Amino acid sequence: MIPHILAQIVVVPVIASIIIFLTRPILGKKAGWIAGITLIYTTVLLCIAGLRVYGGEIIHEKYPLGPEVSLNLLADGLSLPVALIVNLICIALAFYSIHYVDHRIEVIYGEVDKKTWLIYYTRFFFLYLFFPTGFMGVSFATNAISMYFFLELLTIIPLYFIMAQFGYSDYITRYKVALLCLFWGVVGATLFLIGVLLAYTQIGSFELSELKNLAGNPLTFWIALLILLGMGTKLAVVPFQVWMPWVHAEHPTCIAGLLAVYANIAAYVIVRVLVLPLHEDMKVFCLPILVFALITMVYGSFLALAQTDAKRFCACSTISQISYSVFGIGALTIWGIEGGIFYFLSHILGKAILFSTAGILVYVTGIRDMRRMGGLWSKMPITAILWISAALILSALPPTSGFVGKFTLFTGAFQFAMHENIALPIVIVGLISTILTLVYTFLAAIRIFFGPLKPEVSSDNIKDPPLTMSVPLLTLAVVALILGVYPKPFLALLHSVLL
Amino acid sequence: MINVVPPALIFIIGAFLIPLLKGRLKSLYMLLLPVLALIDLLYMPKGKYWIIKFLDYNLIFGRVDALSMVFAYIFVLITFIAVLYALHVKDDLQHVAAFCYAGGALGVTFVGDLFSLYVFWEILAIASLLLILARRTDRARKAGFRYFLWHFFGGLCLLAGIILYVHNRGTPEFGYIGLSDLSTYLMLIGFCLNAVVFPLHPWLPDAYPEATVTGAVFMSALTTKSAVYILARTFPGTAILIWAGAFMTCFPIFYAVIVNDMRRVLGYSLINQVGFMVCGIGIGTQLSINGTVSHAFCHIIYKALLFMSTGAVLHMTGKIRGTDLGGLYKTMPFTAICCIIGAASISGFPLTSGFVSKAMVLTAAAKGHLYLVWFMLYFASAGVFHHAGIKVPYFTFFGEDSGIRAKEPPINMRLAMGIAAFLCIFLGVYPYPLYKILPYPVDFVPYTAFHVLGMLQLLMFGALAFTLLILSGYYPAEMRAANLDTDWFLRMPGRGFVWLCQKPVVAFGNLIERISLRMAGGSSKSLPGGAVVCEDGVDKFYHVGLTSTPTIIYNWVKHLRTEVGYLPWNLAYVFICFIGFLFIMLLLGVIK
Repeated sequence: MIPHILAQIVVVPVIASIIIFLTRPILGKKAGWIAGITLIYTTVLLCIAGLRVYGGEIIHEKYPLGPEVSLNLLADGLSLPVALIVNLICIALAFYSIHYVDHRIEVIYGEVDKKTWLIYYTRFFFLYLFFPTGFMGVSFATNAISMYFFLELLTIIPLYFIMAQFGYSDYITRYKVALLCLFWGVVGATLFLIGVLLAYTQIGSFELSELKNLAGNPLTFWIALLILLGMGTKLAVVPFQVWMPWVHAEHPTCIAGLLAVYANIAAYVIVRVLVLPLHEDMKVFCLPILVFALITMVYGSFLALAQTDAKRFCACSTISQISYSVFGIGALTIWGIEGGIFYFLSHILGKAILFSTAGILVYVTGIRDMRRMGGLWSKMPITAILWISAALILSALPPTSGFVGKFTLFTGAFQFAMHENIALPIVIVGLISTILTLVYTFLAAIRIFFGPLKPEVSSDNIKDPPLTMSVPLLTLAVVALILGVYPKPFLALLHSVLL
Repeated sequence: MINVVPPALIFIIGAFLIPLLKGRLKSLYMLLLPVLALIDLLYMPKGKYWIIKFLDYNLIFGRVDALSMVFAYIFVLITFIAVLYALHVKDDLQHVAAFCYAGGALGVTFVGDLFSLYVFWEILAIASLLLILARRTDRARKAGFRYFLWHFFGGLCLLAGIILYVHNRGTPEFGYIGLSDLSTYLMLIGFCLNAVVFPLHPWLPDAYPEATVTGAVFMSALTTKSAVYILARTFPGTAILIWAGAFMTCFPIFYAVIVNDMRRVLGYSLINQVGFMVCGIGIGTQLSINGTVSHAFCHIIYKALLFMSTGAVLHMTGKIRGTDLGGLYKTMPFTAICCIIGAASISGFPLTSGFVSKAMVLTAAAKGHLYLVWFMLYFASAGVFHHAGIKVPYFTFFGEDSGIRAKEPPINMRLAMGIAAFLCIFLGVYPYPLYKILPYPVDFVPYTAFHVLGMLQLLMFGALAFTLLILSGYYPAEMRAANLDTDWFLRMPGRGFVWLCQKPVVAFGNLIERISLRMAGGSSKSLPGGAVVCEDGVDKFYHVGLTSTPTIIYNWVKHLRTEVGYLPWNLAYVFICFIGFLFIMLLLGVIK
């Protein structure tokens, strides 16, 4: 029995971050490996916790931090799969960042002396380690305020600072983008906070387990609306999607995958805070959510088709993909919600691979414009395989996890549509529009990797990235494949909570 | 499980090991496989075994009785001879295909259920197709394609029949089937296609001449005779087969006399001879089934011998047309003698195997009081002497000297031909080993005065007719031409169908494609472009519009302030504050 397993999972990355900060002169060069190994440790802990939860136990840890304030962590069938997959992505991107940050430092700050280089390098990693803490905190939080705290932690510390220090300035300066990200994140979280405070005035508690007492309350509609708007801002649902192309594209690619998680974890928050406790009161929002999700799916796909910049392309793809989870959750049936969360997990796996592969392309070729790339299969076969596996996962083709998620969520959506026949055309159009993902991901793959080798990318130093960049992504692809072929444990875990 | 393996498995699995060996070892291995199969056959007991359960059904891979054993013996024997004949071939595809082909034939011979039958039937078709395509000429490719179409059609009919049959009866096991419902008719069509029954016959004279030199030997033996076996097992005594068989013996003679390619002559001769067997099956008495089986046994050997000798000529000279050949006896005497022995056998000369087997079918017809059938078969016997017995050896080796002085074929081909020729004579002189393995007890004596005299009379008068025609110049001259067969009814509509596909259907398809591509092209530019315009608009709204709203308001207020002047501005300011103060008082409940 490992004591305080959840607390370890949440806090150990912060401790590792402090260690990296303190040991900067000695271990600075290995900061990435420290981060990666720490995250492997927390993932092992998560697997152990996962086995316990799969056996039927709900892990509940209480840490009083003062007379009124306590940090409680809950691992049940809903939070554990989310935490596990997110942590896996954090590991993969930690190892991916080892070389990528070096490249960013070189590009932004030029040739620097060793001390300055160490400062920047370790700065990235001790900021990076707040990501897993934040995500684990959001997943395991039982208290609305602690959820808000971890969400804002994510917005401010890693996202703002990493963006400001290491972001891209090709289109607008990185500080402006960091500010954009901060403001939009704060607006979303503030709307969430207002909703939570309103709820507090009604039930007198911030605990998520108490939220079911709001059922039937006339203010519940406004609370739900505020929280939905706040989370909708984070989820980049139309009409709140404008920050996503800028922020997602200009972020350093090594954490762009985590930004997709940051956006999509709001779906988990909606399920935990609104859908599970207040199922009946949410029914009035079903149709609007479905409509907006559909619009976002289609709009995001068309936007992605129009992009020529490799990173902005992935960002617009995220807009569309996040709405699949929203679509499933909006149907408010068991399969819909289960499919929505499973699709969220599959999406973050696939998007991490896709975005990181785009990062590899930018890292190796130095070009962001997809029109100037072509025929790269001959030079970078592993990268091509990675892009195509990501395309398979995102296009929800069997045997990847995306297919399981899409199948489940559309089953739930159709179940809803059978009751409310007005939703039937929406669901059908939604299902048909999933082909757009296939179109844009594979079209991009064809333009980048197939066809004649373009002159700009035909020099000899265009080759496959180092192993620390490709192997973690391949591992993620394998995980997605395993989930696609054997989703039973995860689906069982989710089902145990949703029933 | 018993301690023998299905011989089909020996051949099929053994086939795939052939490409791994080289040189002498490969030749030895290839000759060893039929020997192993023969030993396997000798140890196989009679009965039903090798049963595997598949879904709800029992697949029976071994239904062994006298009928299947005799066919199995001849298939293994001819495989040995044909492999010996083909030892010099360097192309591994031909060897693998040939062994799979033989394995398929052995499989067909021993299966006891319809699903396995279908599988082996298709193996036969595909392996023989490969033997045709292995010649790698343009004509061979086209002929192979036509062959494939025919056999695919036959396979489909068979499959439809099998599915209906199993659906009606619930079990795929089969023995005697007999014509009753639609499924049996479909199966009969499927079997008859392989058994070259009119009108499903044109594939044989079309495809067999295009096969490889060595492949044709395999093909002459296996496809048609395994179909004969299946017909003997499933439809003996079916009346329509008597007339079909009798007609089959007659009409190919006319074609055989006029065609030029010697192997095509042999192909038509094949149809003629299989007609005897089909007729015997149709008659259905013990004597006629015996006759069919023994005829199949002997026919395989002497037809293979004929294909081998003409194949040797093709191999050594590169020519196979009667117009190109002649006078080869001078340099290829051994081949010529083998060809003559084969020709004599097929004509049914006494002291050759053809004599002992053909007479049984004729006697069965006579005993069954089928006089017209008997007459047709007799006419066909005369005809076969003419086209196969005389024409093939005469125009190839004798006749007008073409000046070609080819050498004798390699030793393996000569050895194979020698073995086959020896067997023809041996069985003709001492047929009792053959009679022992026939399915029913034989009380037939071939060498009676009646039979011998009747045959000699037929043969001598035929020879007389031929000589007279040649000497008087009335014999139809050898010329290069294509002959019109029933496949005209397929080729003409086929051509029409191809025209239909190429012109109207393709035009329609192009139209649809243009329309949909235009729509896709239009939307692929406009929809994403529209999304980008939308995005720019929304982006501007938030990041330029909203962010500049405070600035705009401030500027407006500042403008207002400068324009309005101090006094009205301060008054308005005081007024607004007073209202605000009142409002707060109201809220706090101070003023009610």
